[in-house]
Amino acid sequence: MIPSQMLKGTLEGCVLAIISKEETYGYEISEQLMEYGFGKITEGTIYPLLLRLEKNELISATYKASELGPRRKYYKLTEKGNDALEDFFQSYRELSDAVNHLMRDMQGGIQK
Amino acid sequence: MSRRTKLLLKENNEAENRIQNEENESILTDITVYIRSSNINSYYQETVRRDILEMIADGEKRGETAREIIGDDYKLFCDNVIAELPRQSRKEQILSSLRDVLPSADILLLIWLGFQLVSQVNSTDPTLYFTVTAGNIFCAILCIAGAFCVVHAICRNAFDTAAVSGKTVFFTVFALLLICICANVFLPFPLLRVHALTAAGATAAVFALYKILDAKLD
Repeated sequence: MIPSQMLKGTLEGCVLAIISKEETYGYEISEQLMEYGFGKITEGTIYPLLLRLEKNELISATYKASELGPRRKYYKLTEKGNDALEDFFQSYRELSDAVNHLMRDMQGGIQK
Repeated sequence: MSRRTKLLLKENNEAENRIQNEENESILTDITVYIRSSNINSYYQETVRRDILEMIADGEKRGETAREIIGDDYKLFCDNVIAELPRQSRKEQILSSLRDVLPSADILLLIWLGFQLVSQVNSTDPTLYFTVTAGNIFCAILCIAGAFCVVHAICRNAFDTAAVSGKTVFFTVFALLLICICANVFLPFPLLRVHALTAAGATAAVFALYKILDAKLD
């Protein structure tokens, strides 16, 4: 299980990435995160984050009827959101490279 | 309340009937009450209420409970939601509070006017000039402030019913009423005299001001 503090900084970018694939809604985002191995992340955790993304104009939302009955709020990425997603991937690559570098160094140290 | 907020409020009140599970309904009520106590304008309050309502209704159709949909900590969820909504400016906050106070003030004015009319009808020397006493003013301020404090305390503790129990509310209201009665008896000092028509006009003006503010805000 990924510690929540570690997840906090990356979840926003990951949600953006999922929305970038296709227009989607809260529950589906939560399900997809689970499929990608992020563990159980409730809609209650995702909703405030979606509000923030919407407030920052990175996503836009529209209500659509669902086959189950209740209307669902569907989110899609905006131009600004696309740029933010690219920035996120770039920053994450840098972070990932740095951590991997450190880990390789550590493993080398341990082997010695 | 603006037209768009009124429409959304009506829509949400109707949509709330779609929630079948009693526990989910109760959680939704607590969430709504808690969000209503925040410094967020009514339109945004109703917008998130709609989102949460649809989220719970959708989850219910999948056989999930509000706890599974939202998580264990409803208060934390509400605080996170509130943190993402635009705060009201100081001016909006003052005007909204004034808008909320005016109907209570108007009702108190009407009650006072009614009492004055009845006492004049029963008087041997009836007059159309009514006396406003220090007790009347103290009582009105205490009633309004007390009512707002009680409502605010209930809303802020929506998820902690033990913090503000029914007994506490009952005794607080009882104590406020007792103080009001005492104030009217022990503070009979006249502050001003007003004509019945002036008092009636003031009541109408307070109501008109409320309607203007209500239409302009949110």
